[in-house]
Amino acid sequence: MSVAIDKAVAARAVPARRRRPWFLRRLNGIIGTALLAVVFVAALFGILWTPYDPVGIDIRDRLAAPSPDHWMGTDEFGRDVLSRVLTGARTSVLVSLSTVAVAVAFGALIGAVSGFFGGWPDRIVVMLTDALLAFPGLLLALSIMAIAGPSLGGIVVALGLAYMPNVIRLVRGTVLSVREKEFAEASRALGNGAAYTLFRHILPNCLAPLIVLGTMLFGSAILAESALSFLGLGIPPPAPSWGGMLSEARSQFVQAPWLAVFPGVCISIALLGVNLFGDALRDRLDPRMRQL
Amino acid sequence: MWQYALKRLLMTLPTLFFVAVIVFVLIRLIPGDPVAIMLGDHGSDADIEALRRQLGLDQPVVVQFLVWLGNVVTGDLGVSIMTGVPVTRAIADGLEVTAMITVLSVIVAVLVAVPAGMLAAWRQNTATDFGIVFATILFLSVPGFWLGVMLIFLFAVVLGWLPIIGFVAPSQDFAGSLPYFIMPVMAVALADMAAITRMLRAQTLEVLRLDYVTHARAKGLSETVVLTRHVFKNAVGPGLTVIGLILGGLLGGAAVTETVFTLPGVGRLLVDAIYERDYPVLQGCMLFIALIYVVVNLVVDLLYMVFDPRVRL
Repeated sequence: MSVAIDKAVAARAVPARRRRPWFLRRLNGIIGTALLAVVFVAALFGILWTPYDPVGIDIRDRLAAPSPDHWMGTDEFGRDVLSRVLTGARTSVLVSLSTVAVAVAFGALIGAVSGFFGGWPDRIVVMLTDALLAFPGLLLALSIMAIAGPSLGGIVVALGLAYMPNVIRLVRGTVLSVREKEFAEASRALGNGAAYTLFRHILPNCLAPLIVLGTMLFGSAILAESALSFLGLGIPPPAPSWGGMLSEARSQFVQAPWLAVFPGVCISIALLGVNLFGDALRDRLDPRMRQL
Repeated sequence: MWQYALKRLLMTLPTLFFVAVIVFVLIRLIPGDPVAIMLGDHGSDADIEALRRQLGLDQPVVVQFLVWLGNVVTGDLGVSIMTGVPVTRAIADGLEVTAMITVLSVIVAVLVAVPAGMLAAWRQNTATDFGIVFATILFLSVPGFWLGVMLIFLFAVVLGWLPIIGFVAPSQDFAGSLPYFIMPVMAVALADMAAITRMLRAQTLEVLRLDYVTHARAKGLSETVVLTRHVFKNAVGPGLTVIGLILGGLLGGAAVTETVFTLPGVGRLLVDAIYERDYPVLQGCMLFIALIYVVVNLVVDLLYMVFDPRVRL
């Protein structure tokens, strides 16, 4: 306790020039939110309206350089790259949001129940989680895609399963550490059922770290979806996806380098947004990290 | 200390067992009859039945699993359906490429990241610090396979400095093979460099606040000595854990990297096995990569013990 107070005093005693100005402290969050907003708006356009048909072939206008007609040029089939990038944003955002939803919903439920009730089911969950974490995430997703075949639903299931062990481990750990606290005991003493105690009093303690983990997983999912599509194991063509576009662009390298530039920039913007936003979120939700 | 090491070693056994179970179950879940796929369109029902018996697929699943596990433990991963090459051989051939990329990337990343991370922490809240932190966030956000494509465009297509077509195996001509690894390592190492830098910056900041550092400074030691002799060791220990994670990412990402640069590594082997539905190879690659990952994490944990005596207790 006294240590904490000492630190607070010490923090205030630090000369002003050593502390970051407020706009630099907030800059991460502002830029991150802005970049994420760009990605979500692009996805919204991808759902509602694109300048051209993203899969509409126009052979006369193939491999056109960026121009007022086609802001990002056209690909080898004369398809408008901007329209494809916007539709790719839709796919990327929807797949990643669904993946996080699947991983968090099932992972949190399994982790919470397993940690709260313990016993042999818990031991099996722990061993399976450890074994699943022994596979690099992308490898697991790749192998599940081999079973499911390239499809949108397949990616969500594959990535959701690949990320679930992280959620299980986080939630189980938090539930274990909170289970014996006084307020949990108080809830039981009041005669509340186990389920009520778990979901009403214990699980909310996982919320802050879960939000941070969820944000990180959202970024990982965007990257993994584009990597899978790049390998031809994600979104099946001709539907546009950033990774798939990048893969197709490789054969047109010399004539049309812009084809490889735009999808990559999109992935980078999305990831940069998630990383900056995630950093800001962690600073906010985990005060221990704030001074760093 | 030895007791802890032994306990940690024994803990990996159930993990490895469940890894084997997961790989076995995953392959069985693939739709379609593997025997029919192996025989293609030519197999009659009698052929299929005969091959099934020959492969032991008419046995109960548990028996199949135990037989398969026995073979795996003795190093027999079966034979590729497509090429007829033993899977162990195929993996061994690809391993030198994957190992080269992975090891070189980690070395490059650590060599840059450790000084960069410590420098950023030492100059906290200065322009240097902001510059390094900004660069790490940027590097973390650029996907390696896109960076790879851009590097090929710049160095191979436009400048023509580095080769992209053809390949020289490191075991044949080590020096001659290096040019083929420059771009893959650059593409892959950048994000890992950023991750290690961030970790090391955070660790160094923690350590710099400790009393013994103040004491070392009060003794009149130069900043260089304080950083290299007193801060370094305690900041680097926890950083080791990230290297374990990063190796996992590299092994998982090997499939993508080796596809971008058309290198014949284990990752490429795995992706081709998926395309060609070559299940023994797929199974072997998954098992192998998971095994390496588990062993690396084990080694990292044991090394951690060397760096941080408190864990030994």
